[in-house]
Amino acid sequence: MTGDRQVARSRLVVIGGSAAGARAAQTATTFDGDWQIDVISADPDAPYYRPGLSKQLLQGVWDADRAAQPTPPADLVTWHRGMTATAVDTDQRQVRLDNGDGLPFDRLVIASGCRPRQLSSVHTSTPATRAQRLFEVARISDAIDIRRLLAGGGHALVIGAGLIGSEVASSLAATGTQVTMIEPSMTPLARALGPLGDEVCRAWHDASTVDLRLGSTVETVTEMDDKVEVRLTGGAVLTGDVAISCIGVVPDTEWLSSSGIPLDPTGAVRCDENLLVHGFENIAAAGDIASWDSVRTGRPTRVEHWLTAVEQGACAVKNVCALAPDREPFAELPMFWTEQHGHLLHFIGHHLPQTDWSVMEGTPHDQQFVAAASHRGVTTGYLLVDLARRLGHYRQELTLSSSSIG
Amino acid sequence: MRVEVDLGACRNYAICVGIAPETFELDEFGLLVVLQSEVPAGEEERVRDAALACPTQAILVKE
Repeated sequence: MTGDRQVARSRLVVIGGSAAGARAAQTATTFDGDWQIDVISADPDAPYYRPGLSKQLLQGVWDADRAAQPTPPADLVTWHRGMTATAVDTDQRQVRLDNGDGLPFDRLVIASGCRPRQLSSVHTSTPATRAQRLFEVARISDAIDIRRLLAGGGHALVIGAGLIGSEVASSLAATGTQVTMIEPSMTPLARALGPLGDEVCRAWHDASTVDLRLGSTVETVTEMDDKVEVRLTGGAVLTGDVAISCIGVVPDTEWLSSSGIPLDPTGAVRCDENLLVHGFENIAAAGDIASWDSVRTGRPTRVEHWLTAVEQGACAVKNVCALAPDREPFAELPMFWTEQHGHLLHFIGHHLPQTDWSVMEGTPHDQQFVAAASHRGVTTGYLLVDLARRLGHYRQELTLSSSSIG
Repeated sequence: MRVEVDLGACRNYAICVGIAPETFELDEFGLLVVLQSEVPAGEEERVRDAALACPTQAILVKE
């Protein structure tokens, strides 16, 4: 790496200790040169396998130890856990922390991630000392607490039937929990998986014990000592042991607005093709807060998937610590997977709402197929439904084809 | 760098194939094959990502 051009000890600060942040810190430990690496992580727990939150951890198949991921030794990386950055002073090159401290940096990676979108109307009659009944699946403690409250099976009300909500419902149903899932849209997975993926997942929900209430909107959620009530528009009231809100995430970046870091209207940090923040040579962003000028799509692009955050963490820290000629654009093919009722779906590449879909092999009716996403005649992505063994082939197809969708 | 896969834990999700196709492949029966256990320098980052991403955490990287 380029650290060998540094003469004095250089200070790298990484804001965020999840997928992108932990990966950035780990990558920096491999740099030549003398780097002091600090990671500020709001999550009090050490890095863990986040995709397991809505899968093995929620099912109780894994405990926290099983989900732990390797971290660099403490003599190489200093972790500031349970702490939040409150501002970046780009002139003084300092990150301010919620305890009032300032952390100076030469290079900065912002990977503070998204936070769950909040339900608008939540009431609670539960004293603060009693068990929580309304959850998000944001941290390992959420998955473990939900599991504990549903130990005897129980009834879960899942709010939102997108990718995470559907995974949560499917994981809980597999453990014998009665699940009611509430969703305003009639095609909740179309945004993530396209119409064919949406259809096949809804068919799996229908064939399962999950009670999927499409076209239903939550009016209020009321937490009580021993149960939670969800009132729907129209007056119906559902009662469960827990309610789990899975209504999406928003970039957690309001704290940056006074720091001169450019944000787009959704709150995402605007970056160039190398993930460097526009206007700054010494600040990069990575993960689901980064809207970068993608060479692959030809437009500002933001990806909310975990694996992309991991890959961007490595790329961002390499570029921000390198000299300009050594920087490389972030051009990895986005990929994500989801497990629904024992079925495995992969998506690789990009798709947009106006994407055309065509079946490449298998048939949607048999629930085992590959569909290609294309835009203006160019293939931009593939959805694989229970055909993992074809992933290598379609990945290569995508790598070979010009996949610009600009 | 060397890579090993615990084939007892592996459930053939193919996530590693999507990340590091030079190193991992599923055969015609859908079972994982490690194509190169000695990882070339240019592929090390991808193999590390694959180990992090593995849904059963079955990939072991030895630096």
